[in-house]
Amino acid sequence: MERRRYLVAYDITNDRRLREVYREMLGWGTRLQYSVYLCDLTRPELIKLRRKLLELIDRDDDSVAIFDLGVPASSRAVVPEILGRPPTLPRQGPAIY
Amino acid sequence: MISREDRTIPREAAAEPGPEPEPAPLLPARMVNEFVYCPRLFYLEWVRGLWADNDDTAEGTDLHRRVDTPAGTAPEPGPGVRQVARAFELSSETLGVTAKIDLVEFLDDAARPVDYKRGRPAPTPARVWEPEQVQLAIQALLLREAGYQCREGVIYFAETGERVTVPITPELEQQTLAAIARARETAGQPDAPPPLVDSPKCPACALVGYCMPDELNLLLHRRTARPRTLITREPAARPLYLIGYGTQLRKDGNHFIVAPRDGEPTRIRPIDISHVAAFGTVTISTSALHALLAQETPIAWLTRGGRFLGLTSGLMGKNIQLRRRQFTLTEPEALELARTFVIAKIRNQRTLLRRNSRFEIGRTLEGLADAVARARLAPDSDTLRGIEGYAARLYFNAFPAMLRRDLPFTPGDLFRGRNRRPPRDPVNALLSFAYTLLTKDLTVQAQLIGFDPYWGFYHRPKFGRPALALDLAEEFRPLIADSVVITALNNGEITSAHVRRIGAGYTLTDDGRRTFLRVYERRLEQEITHPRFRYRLSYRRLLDLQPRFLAAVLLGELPAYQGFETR
Repeated sequence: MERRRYLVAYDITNDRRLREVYREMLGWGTRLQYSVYLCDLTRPELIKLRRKLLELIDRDDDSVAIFDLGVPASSRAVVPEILGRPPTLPRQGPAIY
Repeated sequence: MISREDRTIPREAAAEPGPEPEPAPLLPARMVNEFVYCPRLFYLEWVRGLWADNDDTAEGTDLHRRVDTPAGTAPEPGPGVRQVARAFELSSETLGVTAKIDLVEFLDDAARPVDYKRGRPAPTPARVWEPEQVQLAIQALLLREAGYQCREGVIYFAETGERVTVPITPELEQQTLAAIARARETAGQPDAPPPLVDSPKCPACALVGYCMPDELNLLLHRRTARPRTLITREPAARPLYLIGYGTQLRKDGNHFIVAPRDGEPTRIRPIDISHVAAFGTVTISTSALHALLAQETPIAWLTRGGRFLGLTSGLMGKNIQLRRRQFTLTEPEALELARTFVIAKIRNQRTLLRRNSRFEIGRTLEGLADAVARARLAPDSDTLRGIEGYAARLYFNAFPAMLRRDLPFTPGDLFRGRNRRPPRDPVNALLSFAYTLLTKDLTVQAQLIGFDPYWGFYHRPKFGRPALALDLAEEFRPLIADSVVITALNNGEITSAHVRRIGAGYTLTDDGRRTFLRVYERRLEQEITHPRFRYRLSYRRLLDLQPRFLAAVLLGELPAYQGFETR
C-alpha cells in the first residue's frame, strides 16, 4: 500500500468543534501551521480520515480542504517552500527509541 | 488470557443432553454475490473468516451509513409506492439464505427490493453485473416467500444516481438457485477453490495479498507469464522499537506518545506501527496496550539483553484449518518441510560466503555443497540436525573471511566460532541479536497469518520457544541476519564502543542496539528481484510471503514448500 502525502487545512467556526477536529488531526499527521497538517496516508486511510472529519464538522458552516501532494520522496511530489520556522515533516521508516 | 473457545461456547449449551446436529448456517445474500464474483474469495471470507477492508469496502461502508440514515441521498419512491422499509432483514430455512435489504418499496401486495451500490452501471446490455443480479434475485425470492409478489428489483448506483430495474426472470431464478447450491457445496469442502487465472478482478480485490493468485498459479503451472505486481505493495506501517531504559509508550487521545526518560516526547500515529518490540524495562500503559490490541498490532517482549520472551496479541486468527493442519501433519510430511528449511539455509550460507569472502575458501564451499546433497537423502530429522550442525561448523569457521581485516577490535577477540549463552565475543553478540530480531519478525508474521508460532516441523517445541518461527527463520539467517552483521562491522557502523564485556560474555550497549537495528531495518527495506516471479520486492515483503506459501502448502494449495534462495 503506497502512501501519498496530503495537505489538510480546515476552517472551523465553533470552538468546541475546532478542539475536536484538532484532537482528531493529531492522530493523522504532523502540524505544519495552525489548522494546516501534512498527512502521509494510504487510500483506505484517507477514506477513514474523510469519514471522521465529516462526523465532526458542521457541513453548513465549516470546511476542510484536502490537497494531494503526491508520493513523498518521489521527484514529482509537491514540496512546500517554507520561510521562517522549519517544519516538522511526517516521519518515515522504523521508529527506534 | 481468555481463549477463543471460552468466548464462543454459550454457557447453556453445555447443559443440554446429547449433541444436536448443527444445521449449516444461512448464507447471507452478500456472500452468494461474492461466490459468483470469485468462489475463492467467498471461501476465504465465509469459511476462513478473513476480512480485509479495501478502498471499495471502505467507501461502500460510507455509502451504507448514508442509507441507514434517512438523508437526502435516498431515491424518491416511485409512483404508487405506499410505503418503504429500510435495512429490511429476511431469512429462509428452505432457501438456506438470509439478506439485509437496503430498501424495500411496497406497492399494495407487491414488493420491490432496492440495493445500493457505489459506482456506476456496468457497461453491458443488462447494465448490472451477474453477482449483483444474483444478490438482488435472492432478495426477491425471500420477499416472495414472505408472501409478496415480486417481479423486479432495482439497483441504485450512487455515483450516477441512476436506478436500474432488473426483471427477476425464470432464468435468473434458476441461475440464482444454482449459485446458492454451489456456494453451499463449496463452503462444505475442506480446501479452498483455486485462484482465478489472469482475472481483471484480482487487482481490486481486498484479499489479493492473502490469496496471491498469480504467484500460486505460477507455482501450480496454471500460468506462465510473470505475475502482475498485485501484492508487492509494501505495508505502510513499520515496527516501533522501545529500547531505552524507562522509555514510556502512552496513549493520548487518538494517538500514541513515546517518552524517553530524558528526552522530548514524540507523537506517533497508530497507522504507522506494524508491531511494537519492547526491550527490557520499558513501560507500556494499559490504555496504549488496549489501543494496540484493538488495531491488531502485536507487541513483542524482549529482555534488555535481547532474549525474545513472547508476544502479546489479540485472539488468534480465525484460520482454524491452518492450525489444525499444523498439528495433524504426518511425520514424513514434517520431515520434507524440515529438509527444505535446512537445504535453503545451507545453500544461502554457501552463496553468502561465495559472494563476500575475501580469500580462498573453496574447500568450505565444497563441504557445504556436499552437506546439501546429504540433506536431500537424510532419512529422519535427527540426521538432518547432524548435517545442519556440520554445515554450521564449516560455515562459521569460514565466517571471518567475510569480515574486513582491519576492524577496530582487539585481534583474536573478534570471533572464535559460533557460541551462545553468553556470546563470548562481539561477533557472536551481534549474531545472537540479529537472530532474535529475525525470530521476532517471523513470530509476528506467523501469528498474523494464523499459525501457532510455537509448533514447528523441524525445531522441537520447547516451552516458550517459537519453533515454527525458528523453522521459517532458517533460510533467512544467512540472507538477512548474517548479512546485517557483516555490513554493520565492515561499514564501521558498529565499533568497539558499541559492545561491552560483562563477565564471560559480550553484550551491546543501548546505542549499539539502536545502530544495529537501523542496519537491520535498512536490510529489510532492500529490494531484490525474486528468482521465480521476476519482480522486485523487499526482504520485509519476503518475510510475509514465505510464511504465506508455507500456509498454502499446509492447506493443500501448493504441492511443496520452496525455501527462498538468492543466486
